Amino acid sequence: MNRYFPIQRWISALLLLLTCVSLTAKAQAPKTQEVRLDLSLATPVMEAGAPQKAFIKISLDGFELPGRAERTPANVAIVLDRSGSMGGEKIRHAREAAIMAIGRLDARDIVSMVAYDSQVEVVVPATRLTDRQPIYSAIRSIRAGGNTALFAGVSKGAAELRKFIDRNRVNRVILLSDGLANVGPQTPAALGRLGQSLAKEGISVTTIGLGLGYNEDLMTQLAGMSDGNHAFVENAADLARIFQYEFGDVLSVVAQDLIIEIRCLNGVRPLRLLGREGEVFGDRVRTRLNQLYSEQEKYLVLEVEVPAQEAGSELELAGVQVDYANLATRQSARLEGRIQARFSASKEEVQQAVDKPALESAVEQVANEYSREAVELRDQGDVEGAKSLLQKSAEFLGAQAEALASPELKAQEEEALQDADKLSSDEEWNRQRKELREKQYKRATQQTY
Amino acid sequence: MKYRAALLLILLVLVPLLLLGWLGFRLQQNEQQLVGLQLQKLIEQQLESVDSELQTHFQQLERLLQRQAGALYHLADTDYPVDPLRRFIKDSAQVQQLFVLDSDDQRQFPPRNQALSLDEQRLVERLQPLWQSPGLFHPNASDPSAPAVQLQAPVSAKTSDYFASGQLAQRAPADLPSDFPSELSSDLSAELAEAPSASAKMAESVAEPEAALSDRAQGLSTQAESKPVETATAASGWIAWYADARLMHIYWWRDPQGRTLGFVLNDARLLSDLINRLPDAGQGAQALGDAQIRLLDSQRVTLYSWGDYQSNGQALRSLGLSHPLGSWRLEYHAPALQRAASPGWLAVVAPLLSLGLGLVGLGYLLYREHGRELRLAQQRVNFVNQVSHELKTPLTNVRLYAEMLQQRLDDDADPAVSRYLGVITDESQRLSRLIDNVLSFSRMQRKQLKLAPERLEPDQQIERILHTFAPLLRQRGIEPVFAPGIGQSLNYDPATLEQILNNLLSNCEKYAPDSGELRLHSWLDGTALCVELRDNGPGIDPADRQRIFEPFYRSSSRLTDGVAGTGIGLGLARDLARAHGGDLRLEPGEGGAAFTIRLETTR
Repeated sequence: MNRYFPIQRWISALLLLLTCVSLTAKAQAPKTQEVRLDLSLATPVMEAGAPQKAFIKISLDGFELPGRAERTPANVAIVLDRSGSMGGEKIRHAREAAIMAIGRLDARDIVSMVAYDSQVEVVVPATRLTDRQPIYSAIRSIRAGGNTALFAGVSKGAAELRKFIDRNRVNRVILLSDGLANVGPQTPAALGRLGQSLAKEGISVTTIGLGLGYNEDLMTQLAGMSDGNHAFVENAADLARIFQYEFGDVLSVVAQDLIIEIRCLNGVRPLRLLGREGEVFGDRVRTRLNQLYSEQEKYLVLEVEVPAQEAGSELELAGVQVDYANLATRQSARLEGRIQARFSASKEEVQQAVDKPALESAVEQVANEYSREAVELRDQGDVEGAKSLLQKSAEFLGAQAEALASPELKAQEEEALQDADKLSSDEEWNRQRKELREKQYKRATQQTY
Repeated sequence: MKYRAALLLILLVLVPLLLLGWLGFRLQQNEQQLVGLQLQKLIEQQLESVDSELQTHFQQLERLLQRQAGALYHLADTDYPVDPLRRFIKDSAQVQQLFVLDSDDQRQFPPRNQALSLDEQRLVERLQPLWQSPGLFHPNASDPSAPAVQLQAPVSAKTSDYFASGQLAQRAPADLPSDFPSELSSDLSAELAEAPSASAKMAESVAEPEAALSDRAQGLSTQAESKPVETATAASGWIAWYADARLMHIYWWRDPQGRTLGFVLNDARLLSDLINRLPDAGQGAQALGDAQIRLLDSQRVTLYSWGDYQSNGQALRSLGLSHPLGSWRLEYHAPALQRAASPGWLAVVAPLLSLGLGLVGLGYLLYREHGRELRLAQQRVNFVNQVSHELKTPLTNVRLYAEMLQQRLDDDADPAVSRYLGVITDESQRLSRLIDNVLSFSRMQRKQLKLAPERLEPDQQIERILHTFAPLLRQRGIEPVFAPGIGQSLNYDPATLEQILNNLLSNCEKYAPDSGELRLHSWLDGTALCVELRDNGPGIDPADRQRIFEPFYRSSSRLTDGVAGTGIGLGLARDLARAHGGDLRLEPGEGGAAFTIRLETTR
């Protein structure tokens, strides 16, 4: 017989083994089930010799979920406005949208349903989704009529969540309302404080404003303080789509309770956190995100003031620390990073070193702040002031878009110009304000839908 | 007469009806009040149970915060470390902010020598007046006037709305830490039982159980180094305070070293938790039926409500909540009580109605009977009248022919015949007077009497009447003596005067026989014609003086018994005199009867 034969066999066996190993290695390689922290400075090289402002972008990327089977179980309370204004088509669409959305959940999840008018009714108390039909029929029995006890509705929704509250679940209240809260607390600030408190328990409130009658400030405050989503739905027929997106988000959460602490070093002074609520204690900034979704980027932009430095020197601007609960590993984890800047006398060098994505984000958020201010000015009756502010914002966006060759910023410039145009019309203002608030909110929180 | 009977009957029906109706109404009202009171009591109990449910929340919160405060105290070295406190605030869902005061009530946290966040700066601004108010965190029960003094300090600065400080109203002794000195805990619970329930007062302070406890606390604080948290519950309390149109709740707790930890609660979260303790719409409808309970804040704005009844009327009952929610109220709304009692009304009205119908029927029967009797009497009177008329014509003929016969007889006739004729004449005159009386009486009754005045000399008329009567009177032993005093002709109704005199004279003839002189005299008093009659008979019994003028009354005595009479004479005489604008009076006096006739004359 051929004596080489065994060697060949050995070699082929070895090759097979190797391919297998490499294959398994390949399969395991992308599954770093950890949130990625990216720190970047819009201007990594700064001009020397003068104090200046700089934008630090802190970006967090949710990792890919291993598979649908391993997603995080959800604990969802749908809080439905059934006040008189919800009558007819609206309530019908809302019921169907809720039922369709619940259809995406399975036996791992817990669902509850609260409906409110002048009073609050727990339509479906928190239940594991094993038998759907009774839940569906309970939801279908909801009829419209009465006032809007929004605060109490959210309270009872949160109470249903608390029955099964678990840091390893996605705990979320989804509030759908089309009217002004008129029973109980009704100021955006009061609802914001409630949202703040719920966020501390790991509950987010997503607010969906339906039609043109709701208070967009209240809804964005509530969502913003608890880090939920916010959407403006003008047509009730679109509710199903929005619910689908929302539940898509709920089912793709990979990390929760992200506490971000930024410590500015070496005399760097934090000025403001763009787009998000944060607390500033001297040289420290603290903020939190309630959750991070799979394969989505959330970022913060911090504006800081950097003291004058000599050319050629390097300076550590800030250290960032992120604590979070990893839902894939069910463990808490910590990420840390530092950010440095170099100082140069050459303007060219400064220009060349610009971090394009970071600056883009910073510009986007700064323009977003302009847009918010414009709404406030418009609220005070200063239409011209608001218009000129938006035009200024568009100019700023246009200049930066050219410099960075960024189509996104160009699009935002167009948007700002359109907003400025539409600002003067009184009839359109209600709708436009809701649209603006929604846009601002989505930009600031990087909401995907 | 007819109307009076009808009126009487109506009264007869209405009075008992009204009386019974009023009694029934009162009874119903009393019952309703009783039911109302019971209902109110039930409602109050219901509201109180809600209040105690809310109190339970504060008790649980107090326990939680006490535990957390203890944990924070464990971390404290000489000072409370800033970072853990901030982390605590960041993580606590119920607590919005935190402050620490040292034993001299000086602020330790938020830190004095570090940069503060915006929230912390706002807190410091807002609470500065609170921290400066003396002794707020050192209540002392041995001085009862102290609380009142404390209160003004923080309030006067900004809002005069609401400020209250104190402990929870009822805290079960079981809630106290188990290592709390047992004899103290019984003292404490007794003290707490006496504490006012903080419901209504604008501002009040339930003071800390007195000196014994604070002494104890001081004693403990000296050895606190070695015994840390175990002795922790030295002092604590709740402060409710309106600042910037928001109700702030602060729970403060003194650590064994005399430092005060203050937990400023998240107001929205507190309300949310309280709402979660209350029933939802479904449970509310089950528990209350057609009623509603509302939770209202100090501005009377509904914060939460449950129960089916929806109306914005007056609340049936309202209850102020216990401290620290002292400015809030619970209101109970339900349909008014009347509706519940309406079947009772029917029960009262139905018998009243049937009774009324019965009485009306009875009254109608009586009225008909009375009417028939009245008609019968009328018929009888008419009959007597007609008979009297019928009698008058033959009688006149009898008298006429008797007188004519007397004239024919002349002197030579048999004296017996002339005596018989005299009797016939007298008796026929008497009969005609009787008939005149009856006719006059019935005319008076029917108010048909008419005067026919003519010009005559009354003296002459009286003479003539006396002359007619004289034989009859003399026969009975009475001697009339007339003293005329008018002497001129007057305008009056002679028929009236004649009838009155006839009656008086025939009375005299009947009741005063053999009395000797009957004196008459006449005079003119102004325009009035007056005649006085005075006999020497037995007179009239003083008891009868009032009644002799009543129709059909006859004074009864041995004297009058056996004397025939109709009993209408005197009454008729007086009525006639009165119809003539005068009067007939019985003159008072001893012995004999004296009457004065007085007739008004016209010129």
